[in-house]
Amino acid sequence: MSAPLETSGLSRSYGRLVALSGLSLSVAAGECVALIGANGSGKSTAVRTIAGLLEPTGGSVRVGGRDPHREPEAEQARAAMALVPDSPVLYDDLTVSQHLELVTLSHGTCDDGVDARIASLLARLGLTARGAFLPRELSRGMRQKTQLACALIRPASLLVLDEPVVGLDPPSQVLLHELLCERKRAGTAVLLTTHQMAFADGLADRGVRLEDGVAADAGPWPAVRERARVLGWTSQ
Amino acid sequence: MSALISAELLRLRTLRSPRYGVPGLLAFVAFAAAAPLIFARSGPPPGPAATADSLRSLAFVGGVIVAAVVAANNAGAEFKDRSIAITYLSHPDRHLVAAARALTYAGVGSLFAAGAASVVLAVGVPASGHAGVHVGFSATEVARVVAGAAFGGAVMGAAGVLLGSVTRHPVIASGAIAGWNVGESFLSTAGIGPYLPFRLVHSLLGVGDEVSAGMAPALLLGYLTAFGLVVGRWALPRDVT
Repeated sequence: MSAPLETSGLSRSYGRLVALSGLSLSVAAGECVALIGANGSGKSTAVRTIAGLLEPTGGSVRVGGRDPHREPEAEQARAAMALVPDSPVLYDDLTVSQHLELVTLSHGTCDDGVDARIASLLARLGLTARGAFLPRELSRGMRQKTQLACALIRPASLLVLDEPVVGLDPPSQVLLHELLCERKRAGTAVLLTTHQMAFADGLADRGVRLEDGVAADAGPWPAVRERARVLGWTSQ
Repeated sequence: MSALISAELLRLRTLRSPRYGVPGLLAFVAFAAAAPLIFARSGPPPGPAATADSLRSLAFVGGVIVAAVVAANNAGAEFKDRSIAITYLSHPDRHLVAAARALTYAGVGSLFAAGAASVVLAVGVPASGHAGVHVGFSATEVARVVAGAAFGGAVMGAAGVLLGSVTRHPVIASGAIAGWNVGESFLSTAGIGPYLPFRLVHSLLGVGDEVSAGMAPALLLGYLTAFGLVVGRWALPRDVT
């Protein structure tokens, strides 16, 4: 059976700038891999390329054995993964609830039980009272929660999160940690980028550290974290 | 596809600008249809044929062009503010997303353009009679103007979505439509003028009658299909940054 995510030699350049070079990693079902690295190390480029928003300039991505960049298999590959981008991208005129309705409609999972699922997820994320609010009426953290809800409302065998805790208060970070652990236990593969090492503790099984677009370190999460700490580029 | 169209309709009905924009535009079209004929001016009034063509042209600009510009603006804005990523991340097939969006704006553009044409005729014909110019639209001619505007609004609404997907910018997309319309007028002397998209819509509305009523819709659909294929091949797969 194919892994939920496999990349091989994945590369992406912006003109002369090589943002990502030769990234090879895999994430198994029920596993979480944390992608860490300094600003500009290529983390966001990696997740956006994996998600199909950016075309790779080299290498390959396989999601459940299918290439998200090549038709006709791209459709199934992209449908199997959900992405939380590094900053919230929301429609100005849609309320929080309508965003979730839009996602389920677009994803083809808007069935009779969708209202209950939306209400349940909003309650879990503490967004019930904000369901009828527009993005401009929300704080940065609430918008981030809305973006998380958009990814969590739909089924996905691979969950890709780019700096998901930015803007979240500590209780919300704990809640997100719990939610992701639940998804892992249910068999979802999780790829996570973060600068907050503590958030990945207890969640990430393995880690990959990027440096100038290249995987400079990889291995079990505690070891990768410790080596990164020794290098001194993170204090957490 | 129907779920994607429902998603597009959800997006459209939550937009605030059309709530005021559509009634405002229709009111402006009504005013524009009546004003030149009501307000006194020097010289003899225009003849019935010239007045009828003016009303048809107003239906074209106030209905068809506006439908295209609104579609292009909305589609381009989604790329500019990156909100398109929500839809692309929710639905994996960008071609289907674009097709659903084009179909939705074709429907909305058709309704709006037909409504604008109806307003132009409902206001402009009595107003011209009041000014002593009896246009004398028959029922068939009225139906032709409204149906032509509806078809033109549908095609141009869909084309606007495709143009917004290519330019990925609301102002550039809207400006391109206006620019194309002006550009066609410069090509009118080259012999191919009547067969260009906006001139074909003019023909559908009864201005000029240079292309038959059977050929004009077929050519318009052909242009739209070709444009859609080009957009699907080169514009849709581009990066979403």
